[in-house]
This record gives sequence, structure tokens and C-alpha cells, in this order.
Amino acid sequence: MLRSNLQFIRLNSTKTFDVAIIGGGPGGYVAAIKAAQLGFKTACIEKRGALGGTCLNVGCIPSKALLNNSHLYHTMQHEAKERGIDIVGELKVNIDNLQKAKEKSVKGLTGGVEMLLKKNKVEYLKGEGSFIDEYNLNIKPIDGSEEYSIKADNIIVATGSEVTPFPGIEIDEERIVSSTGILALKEVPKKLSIIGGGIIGLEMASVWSRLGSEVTVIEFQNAVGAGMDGEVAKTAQKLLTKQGLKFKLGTKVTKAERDGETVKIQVENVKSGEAEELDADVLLVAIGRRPYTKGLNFEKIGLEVDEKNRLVIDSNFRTKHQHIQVIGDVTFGPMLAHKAEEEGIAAAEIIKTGHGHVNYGNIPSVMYTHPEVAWTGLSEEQLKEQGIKYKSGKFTFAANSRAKTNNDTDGFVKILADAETQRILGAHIIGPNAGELIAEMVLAIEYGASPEDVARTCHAHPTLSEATKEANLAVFGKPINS
Amino acid sequence: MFKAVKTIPVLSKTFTKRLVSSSSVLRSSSVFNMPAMSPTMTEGGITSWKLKPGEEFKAGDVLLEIETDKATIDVEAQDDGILWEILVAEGESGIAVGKPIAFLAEVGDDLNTLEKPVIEETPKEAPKESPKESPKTEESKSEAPKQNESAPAQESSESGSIFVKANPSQKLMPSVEVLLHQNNISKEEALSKIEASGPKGRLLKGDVLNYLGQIKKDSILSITKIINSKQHLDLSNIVLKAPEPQTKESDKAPAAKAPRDDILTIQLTSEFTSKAEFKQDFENLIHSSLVKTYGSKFPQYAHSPSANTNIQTDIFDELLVPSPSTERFKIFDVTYKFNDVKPNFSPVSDFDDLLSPVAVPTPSGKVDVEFKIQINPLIDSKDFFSSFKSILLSQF
Repeated sequence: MLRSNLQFIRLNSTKTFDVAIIGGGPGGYVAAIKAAQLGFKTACIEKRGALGGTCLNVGCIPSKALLNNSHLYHTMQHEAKERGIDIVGELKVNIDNLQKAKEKSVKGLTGGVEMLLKKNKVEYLKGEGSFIDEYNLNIKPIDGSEEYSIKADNIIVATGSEVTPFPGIEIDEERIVSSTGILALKEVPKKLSIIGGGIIGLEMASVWSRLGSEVTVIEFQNAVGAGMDGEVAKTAQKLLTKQGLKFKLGTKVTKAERDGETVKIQVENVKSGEAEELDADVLLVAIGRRPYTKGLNFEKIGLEVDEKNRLVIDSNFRTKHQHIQVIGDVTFGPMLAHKAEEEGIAAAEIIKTGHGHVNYGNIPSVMYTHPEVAWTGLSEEQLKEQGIKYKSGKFTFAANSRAKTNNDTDGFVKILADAETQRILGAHIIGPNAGELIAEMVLAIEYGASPEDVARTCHAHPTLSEATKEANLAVFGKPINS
Repeated sequence: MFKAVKTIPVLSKTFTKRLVSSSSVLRSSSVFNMPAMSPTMTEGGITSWKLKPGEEFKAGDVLLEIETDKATIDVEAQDDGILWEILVAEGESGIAVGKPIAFLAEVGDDLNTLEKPVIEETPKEAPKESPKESPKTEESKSEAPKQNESAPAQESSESGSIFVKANPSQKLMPSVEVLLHQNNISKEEALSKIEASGPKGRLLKGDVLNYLGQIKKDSILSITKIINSKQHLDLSNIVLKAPEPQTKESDKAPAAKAPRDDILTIQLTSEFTSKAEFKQDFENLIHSSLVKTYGSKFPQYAHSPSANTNIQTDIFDELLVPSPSTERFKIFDVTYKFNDVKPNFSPVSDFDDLLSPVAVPTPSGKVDVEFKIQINPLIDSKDFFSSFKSILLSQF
């Protein structure tokens, strides 16, 4: 036979897939794994170079690493003595290592996602995916190699969102930073100003305030914590003020400019029009996020966007092309990682069975300050607005044995239920581990429970969850321990 | 004041009136509400039911015994009828006047086909109330049935989508279990008779409260409607962005034509000694690889097409798998590009040749082979192609 070192140089062909997902964030990678598990030949296209999207790389995960570690520092600094721990020598923060610890958790998790894709036989295509036509995608590899195309019977767009810029303020990620830059500061700014009193703003305010920054939060609205129950938002603001944060509510920013190593910020009281100049070492712009479709070339195939650049879908996430679905931040609904995940699962199931489930009335929100804030369902304000007669049950952590034992008693659990049918309509928690505690109430609401159902369910003692039980008991009856 | 009145011979006026008015709407079944046994009575207890569900009664028969704060009183039937279903069990106290306590039917009704009466709004009989408020109560009383009459279809379709038959396999929620027990309702009865408004036919506390007449059905309908509406994204008022004029950049974007997905181009490189021989060898190679591919997929045909008689084949496989003779893919456009290399390019190669048992002529150059494959859209075509690919490669 021939003596040769023959080799397949290249299969110059279009690879075909049953499902291709553009975007490897929490929506995209979950959709990819689910699709593969449902038996589809699946590709997941991601151009960041790491999976997990904003959430894992520059969002939820790194911010939680900083929040947790800065909280530990803060606790040691302020409460060690009282808790019976003497610190010999100096207690100090090592920013380099703090950032390294953050990187480590991010790397571990993004690597983990890549393994999951592999394990589920999802083909991970590292590159930018864009529409050639309704079925063919062009892939531009991030390593600079030659572009190629793939074909897919079903396409799920999960390209996520990006930071909304503040008109007129240029983000240099050094002195004027976005939510990405604030996570990577190399030193603790003496003065930090934050535009936006939403969840991102308040979490970052907490981190840097604990590490020693003098933090001012500037918010246009008269309340912090966008969308939070009013009573909870007020309590959160009060507790954060006690921790040293300064709030300027009902205040708008008219101008902000870098001036050497500082930032000059012009603000104006919305009501009185009174102007004021603030200066800060770092300014964080955290006024929200907007859909991200750069390079997607969706216009080519006639996909539509609304005024806010959200890709238009129907209730099954389908665009005008039935086989193209859109999920997550790039389309409608709250911009939350877990909402995108739910949609990813549902979208894959819809491809398989025509049916998928996401309950938008019961998506929890969590703010990881200390105390944490978590809620699901309707707030008192929303109930009043809708004219729904409701009953409220509240239980404070000051009366909860575990919270008392931990000397961590700020906050309360509030349960709202329909006055007549007793169905639970909303749950609002501010307190230690609120983000974990809310899960029980999300489950309860999903099943259509009444407060009595939760109250009649055994809760371990002593746990913080007993506060949830008691708050449920308080809606139509009386709590035991208060 | 009624004191120690043993028997009230007829049902109270309000009951009679309601019976008549509701029977016109609800055909022959009706709701039996808690009667007011005295002008001051606002609530009472049921000491005992004298009949079992399904039993007939005649006018004048004692239906049940009611306990007020002043006395125990027998309630007699005014007309003949059937006690269809008891809504409030005996032993219950504090039952508000006007609250439904039973369903009644007329003699001769087939209880299996009869429609359940809809429990209407039950305005409280409140003689105690100050005169200021009483006109209001009357107003709502006269309005309530009107509403029901004007939009019965709408209500029923709405409640039809909200109330479903209780899922019989559910584990009851703790609140439901307790409430049923307190009212002597068995699980079986609850699951067969109480309509469920919870997700997937789940019986909620509110559904039982409604069944017991303690809350209005409307309360469930309205809150469930709100909850259900929040479960979906509001996609009703999407304002589309006006399309931007096509920019050059978007024109520039992937201009590559979508290649046909069913035609693959395959490129190989090899060394060759003689051009003609290589072509011959390569063609033979493709042929033998094809034979081996089909042979490995249909072992029964590997040696001779007629040698399959003794081989057990799965009949379903034969039905599902396209026949062995159907072409899975086609190879065409085989092109060779020969690059001659100067001879004597490697002394090491000569050394190799000395060691090898059979002397191999020194290659005279490299060749790029390219050919196209068109895959037929059969379920096992891709499988065939990948086998072919590996067989072809292993031949070298």
C-alpha cells in the first residue's frame, strides 16, 4: 500500500446541530445542558473566553466573594472583642489577596461549567456567533483562526446584557467605573460615590464601606432598593446608614468628570433644584443594564427589538422565526441570572415537547448586603395599587433564638396573604441569610399555600427559618414567641 | 324574644324567598342557608342533622336542630324535597345567618346528573345593625342576583379556567387537612366534590373555605386571576423600535454564503511515487472502504448478497433501516494535485528503507487529494459516513 503520513487536514464543511445557543451565560449554558440532556446535538457559542457570562465573571459571583470576605473583616474588626475573640497584632485587609480569593472562586466556577458542558456532550464553540441567515451562524473564533459556519435546526439567543452608560459620563474603569471595574479596584478608595441605589449600588457600597471607604449613594428616586417592598427598603436604608453609608435620595447627577486622580460630580436635588458638587476618588455608575446584541446581526434575519432594544418574543420565547428563541437579559422580564436559567430550561423543553414552565410571578430577588434583603411575589405597594385586600404577618429577628444567639438580630420577615382566600401573595425578608430563607416562601407560593400551611410545617430549632414560620403564623393568628 | 320555643313550623321567610328566587335560576337544586330563628339571631350552631344526604323529606319534617344562644330549635321543611348534600356538619357552632349549610333538591331529581347550585353572595342578615347602614345592605342584595344573571356565561367560563377538578393523587396541604377534619369532610369527599383553584388541581385552603361557604367564590376567582396574570411576561404592549437605516457595517457582516450542508469537501495529503499508480490505488482504496463500510453495517451481506437466509435479523430493524442497497452518500469530484519534490531528499529515509523488510521506492513528491461527498438524507447516512471516514484512514 501507499507509504504515507496521510492525515485529515480539515473537514471543510458546515457542522450541523439540533440546537445552537448563542451565549454561555447562566441562561445559555443551562439551556445547552438541558438541550443535550433531552437528546439534542447541541452547541454553545461564547466569545468571552470563559463560560458563565456576566454573572460568573463580572457579576453575582465575584461580588459575593468580596461581600462575604469584607463582611468577615468587618465583623472581626467591630465585634471580635464582644464575641470573646481577642485579636493580637494588627487586623488588616490585603487587597491583592482579597482579589485573588475572588479570582479563585470565579475560575473554579467557570471551569466547572466548561466541564459540565463536556460531560453533557455540548460542543463549546469559543467565538462570536452571528446570523448568516435563519439557520446558519457564522462563528468568528476568539483565537483568531479562520471563521466558519454552523447550521442549526433550533437557535436560542442568550446574549445577555451590558452596563447602561450614563449619558455624558465616560467610564474609564479606573476612576469612573462600572460594576465590572468596581470589582477589580486595586486599592480601597478613600471616597467612593455611587450613582444608583439599586441592588448593585448598595452591595458595592457595602463592600467598600466595610473596607474603609467613605461611601455616598446618589439615587434619583426617593427610595433605595429598586422594587423592594417600601417598609423593607426603609429599614435597609436605616441599617446601612447605621453602618456608615451616606444617602442622597431624590438627587440627580448632572455632570461627572475625571479631574486627575479624583472625580468631580455635580448633583442637584430633584425637588428644590439645589445644586452641589461632590468629589470622590472613585465613581461607580450603577444605573442598570441594557440588552446586549453586539455582533449578533439579528437585523439580517428580521428579528425585532422594542424601544429598550429587547428582542421581541412570544410567550414561548419564540421570535418571528419559530425555531429561534430568545431568553435571559436580552429579552423581556427582570434581568436576573436565575430567571435566565429558568428560561433556558423552559426553552429547551419547548423545543422538545412544546411546553415549558416559568412562573414570573414568583421569581425571588436578593440583595446581599448585611443584613440581606430577599423577596418574592407582590409588595405591599403593589397590593395596594391593585386594590387587593391583604393581611400581613411580621416577625422580627430580635425575637428569633438563632439570630439572638448569633447576635445578628436586625430585620424581620413579613408575609402578605389574601385576606379572604388566605393564599400567600408575597414574602419580604430583611435579615441574616434572607437570601436562603426566601426559598421556602418561593416554594410555598409555587404550591398556592396559605400561611397556615407554612406554619404547620415543622421548622428546626434553633434556626432563622423559625422566624419565617412565626411570621406566617402571625398573618391570621398569633405568633408563639413574641 | 323566642324562649324555649320547641319547634318552628316553617322555615324562615328569608329562606323561602331565596329558595324560590334561586330555583328559578338554578333549576331544581337550591342552596339551603342558615336560617334566622329570631330577629336578633346573627349566628347559631347545628346540633344535629335529622337526615342523611340523599334522603327525602316531606313538608313539616324536621331537617335539623339549631342551637342559638337562647334555645335549641328544630327546623322544619316547608316543601317536599331531598337533602342533597350537607355543607356544614353537625357540631359546628358560630355559623353566620345566611351562610349556605346544605344543598337541596326536588323529589324526583336525579342527583347524579343534577348541576350543583352556585353559591351566591350571602349578605349577612343584620337586623342588629344601625338603620343608617341597612339601606346599603338591601342595595347590595338586590344587585347581586342581577349581576349573576347578566353575565352567567362569562363567569362560568372564567371559573372554568380557574377551578378544575381536584387532582385525586395529591397529598393534602396541612391547612386543608385540618379544615376538612374540623368539618367532618373525608379526603375522598373533598377530592371529589371540592373544586381546586391551586396549581395543577391542588386543593387550597381557600377552596375549602369556599366549599364551606365561609368565603365567596368571587374572592378566589379574582385573586387567582391576578396571580395567574402575573405568571406570564407582559408582552402585550411592546413598542417596536423603528428600524434603523441599514448601515454599511451590517452589510459587511458575515457575507459568506451559507454552504450547502449536505455536501462536504474532504482534503487529504499523502506522498506518492508514481502519479498513475497513486490514482489507481486511491480509487481502489475508496472502493474497498465503501465495501467495508456497507459490509460492517450489514454483516449478512458482507460476503454474498444471497447469504443472509440463516442470519437472524431484527424485523423492526429491517423496517426502520433503509435497504442495504440504498446509497448513503456519493463520492464525486476527486481531484489530485501533485507536487513533485526533488529526489534524494532524505538520507535518513534511505536508512529506513534498508531496515524495512520490503524495499519501498522513494517517494517522488506530495499529493493533495480533494473529493466531495454528498450525503443522502437517510437516518443512518451520517453514521455510514463516519465509518467510511475511519476505514479510509485506517487503510493508509
